[in-house]
Amino acid sequence: MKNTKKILILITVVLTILTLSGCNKEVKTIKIAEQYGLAYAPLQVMKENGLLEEALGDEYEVEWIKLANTAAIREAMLGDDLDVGFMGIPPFLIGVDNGMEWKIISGLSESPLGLVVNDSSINTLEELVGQGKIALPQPGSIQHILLSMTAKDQLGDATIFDKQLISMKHPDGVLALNAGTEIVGHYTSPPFLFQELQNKDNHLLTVGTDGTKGEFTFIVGVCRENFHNDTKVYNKFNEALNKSIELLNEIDEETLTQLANSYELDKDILTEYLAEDGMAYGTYVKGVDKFIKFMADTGYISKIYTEKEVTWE
Amino acid sequence: MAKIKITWVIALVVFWEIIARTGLVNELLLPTPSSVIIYLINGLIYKDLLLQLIQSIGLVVLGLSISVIVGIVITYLDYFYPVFQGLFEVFASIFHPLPGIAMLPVVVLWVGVGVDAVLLIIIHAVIWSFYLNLKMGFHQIDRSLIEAAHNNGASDIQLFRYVLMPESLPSIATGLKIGWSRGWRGLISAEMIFGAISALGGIGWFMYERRAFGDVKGTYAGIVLVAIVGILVEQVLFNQQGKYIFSKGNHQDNE
Repeated sequence: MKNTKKILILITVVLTILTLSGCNKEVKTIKIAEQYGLAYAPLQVMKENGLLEEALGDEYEVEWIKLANTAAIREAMLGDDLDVGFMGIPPFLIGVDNGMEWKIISGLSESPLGLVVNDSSINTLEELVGQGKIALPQPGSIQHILLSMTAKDQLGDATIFDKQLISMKHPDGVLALNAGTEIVGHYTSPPFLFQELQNKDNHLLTVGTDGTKGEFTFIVGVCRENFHNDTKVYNKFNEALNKSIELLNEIDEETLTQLANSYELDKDILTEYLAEDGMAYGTYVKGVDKFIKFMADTGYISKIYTEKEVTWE
Repeated sequence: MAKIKITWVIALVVFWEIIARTGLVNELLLPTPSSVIIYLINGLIYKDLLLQLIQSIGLVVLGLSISVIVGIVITYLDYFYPVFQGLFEVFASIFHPLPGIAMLPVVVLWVGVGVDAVLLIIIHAVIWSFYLNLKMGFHQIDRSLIEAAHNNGASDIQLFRYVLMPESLPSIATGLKIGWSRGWRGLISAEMIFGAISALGGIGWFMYERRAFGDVKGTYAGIVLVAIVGILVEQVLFNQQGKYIFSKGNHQDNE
């Protein structure tokens, strides 16, 4: 009996130490998470040219992580394993609503988003109701929210397509749409959107701005208070981000070659993609209020948040 | 032993509750077990969780049944025809170690992303271990029983029906148990990767969706539910049934 007691105490101590040991960590490595797509191009530029390392000096190391979805980014940040994450506005807001203490550092890009269908008999959103599956990255993603916004506007019901959704990564969605499985639609972003539209059997059913009725920022960068409070690093990060966006907006041959390599795209095609309507890179943030209003109205988030509650500056 | 195990479960839950309540760990990382249980009960009573659970279990049971029928047929062919024995042994050595998830890309190409695909993953997970177990059962039977049947002029079918199958009941029970746990794992993974495979989606989809919405309690509730079902089926159903079949097998042996 005495032994049992000792063992119990020992286990309690070990478990407590294990639980606590994750909490203290020195911020010497800056970890940044991005996802897949052309909208993240400034980060590619920043990474390829070592702009952040240059701005921060030798004291800091920069680590880039590519994660498949916002849930993974949120979890990594909760586990203190990530400093900055880039994502669409709606999943960021869902995080805020769930008690995640993060705010927007800066915008990154605007981009056309759209629902591509492979059935030529479907020409309106109404005709899509009950017709096969619609692929998009995940519930609560910007693609899902844009589709819901458009559905509410045109058909009066934001959730009308929810039973038809299937969760797929962008590249899998492209394959599934082209393979002619039960997937009839794919709500996606560039370069996947442009690639799908090059196939003559596919056509664009609706675009993101049909839902928002105006321009909106696609990707934003967010961080928690500990990173924001480290003013020096925070400012250097913004500096490097500005510089990357500048480089991309006045794109030269060298940057173009870099990007073409990292996206595995032909240089001419990439130039075409970057010049498409609606592609824009900048640190401004547009349309957050529209997402907040819609998501609060439809119950994706519990209340209206003010701009101050969701952005650092 | 059972008492010690239950005491440990309670102790771990209490420890979890205390750690979560002290606020040492962010609530978004570790919600209290009581809040998770409340969430789970609410979900089962007021939301679709029970239906999603039934759908998932139904799929595994269906996949398991198909696998058992096909498994018995191929083991029969394997036992009586060397040609088939060679073929199925090659299949089993290729597919048995292959995780269902590794087959996913091919399965999607073949049958798309619907219920069929998940069913195929479950069957793949179950059938090879069931076949190997049954085959082992057949080969562990006392030779004298089989020869006695032969000497009495039993046909292949009769030998199969009256000697091989009844004498292999313990192996069948083991095959079913392993098949269930492999099938259940395969199903949950497939549902979490596919997303909703039907309008309702199963328990794997529930977890995926709750995670996507940053609903930590919901995610934990899903994990707890999957664990509870796993424990109930493996420990209670199969252990009891296994004992029953095993004793029955011995009993026949003594006759």
